[in-house]
Amino acid sequence: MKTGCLSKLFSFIRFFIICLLVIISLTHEAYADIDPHDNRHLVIAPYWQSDSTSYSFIAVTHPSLSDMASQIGLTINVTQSDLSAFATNGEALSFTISAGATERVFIVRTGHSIINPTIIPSGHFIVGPTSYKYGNITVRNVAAFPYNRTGNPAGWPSDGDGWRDITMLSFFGGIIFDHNTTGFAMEFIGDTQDSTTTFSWNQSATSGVN
Amino acid sequence: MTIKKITTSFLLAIFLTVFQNAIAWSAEVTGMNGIGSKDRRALSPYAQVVPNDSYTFIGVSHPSLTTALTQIGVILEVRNMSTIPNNAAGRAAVFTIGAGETHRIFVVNVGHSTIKSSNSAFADSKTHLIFTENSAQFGNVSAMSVNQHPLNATPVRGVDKYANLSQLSMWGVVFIPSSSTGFSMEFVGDAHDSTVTHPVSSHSLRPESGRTSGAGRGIN
Repeated sequence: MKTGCLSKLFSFIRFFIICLLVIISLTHEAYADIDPHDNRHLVIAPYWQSDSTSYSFIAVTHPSLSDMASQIGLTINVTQSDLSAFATNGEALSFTISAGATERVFIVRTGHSIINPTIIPSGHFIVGPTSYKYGNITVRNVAAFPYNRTGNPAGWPSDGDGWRDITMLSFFGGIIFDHNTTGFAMEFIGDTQDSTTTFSWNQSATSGVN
Repeated sequence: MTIKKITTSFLLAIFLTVFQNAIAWSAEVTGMNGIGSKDRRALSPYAQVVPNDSYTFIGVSHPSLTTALTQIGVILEVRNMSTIPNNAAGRAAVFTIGAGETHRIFVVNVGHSTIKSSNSAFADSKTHLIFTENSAQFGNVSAMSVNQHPLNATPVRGVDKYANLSQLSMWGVVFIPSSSTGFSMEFVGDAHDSTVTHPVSSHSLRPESGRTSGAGRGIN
């Protein structure tokens, strides 16, 4: 009798452990980290430049669309032609953008008389050498799991719940020449401008504006 | 005599027909992956060089996408312009772009005061100069992949990688130095207009229900 109870107990524990392992494996799948080079998670710009007469400017807007988290973190990697970082400190720029906000980023030489944090305290700065530098830009998610929905469960009133996905943000930029404040529009690929309807059984729009 | 003449003409006509078909067939076979092949091409509809007034600048970057091979060969050519030398070598820049790199191409008149080979600022391996004659020139730009089979993938750790131009990103301007103004150029066929091929979109970059469209137009 005692042996029978133990046997049932062991069977129950075995069943419990199997269920636990299945749940862990499923959870792990759901929280799988994204590939930082995956086309689907990048926003890129083919060209920027900075020298003693010019700088680059980027504006990032959170259009506050449905299914967007109210706060989205992004990391801007400004890469030079020799593959090194432009910033003197060698770091990428990371910040969080809130719903409806527009953040400004300046890629500028050290010691610029006007474009600096003292005169433009609300700006974000990537400061590098005064000599002519150029390269390309890659923007990535801060969120390791941008497709994990934040906020209230589905069906609850929306309070900014959604995905922390940078491809739902809108980018604009220019290369500016100091002496006459003219320049050229930059190109961004992978943001809301290039979005398409998502794959879904009901074709719901959840990534980008389309 | 007449019969012999007719027979000769008939056989000659057959020979010429067969010969012309052979030529047409070989040309078509070459054309499948030749310079006319759309899958090898990216283009920009307008470029210009006017001495003492304007020149054309193009930046080409390799954004190191999942679907891109780490090295991609590019042949960038200006067309309908008189170059120095005015031949295939003179009107084209041929280079290999590595992951994360940005290359610059200047299309400028040969007598330009600063943009010249002897200026060290334009003499590095990632800067390419295409010289035109010292007269006003205008035309278009055609870029072509060195890879003749750009839709053939190279699997790397389970992901199909391509050496085609839709993995690269292109940007350019017709620049007027005196006022630091100009016009942005348009590029067709680079990453901005790309659509990843079906085998990739159905595997490594497949759509995720309700979240992403998978690999479609553009890089996303």
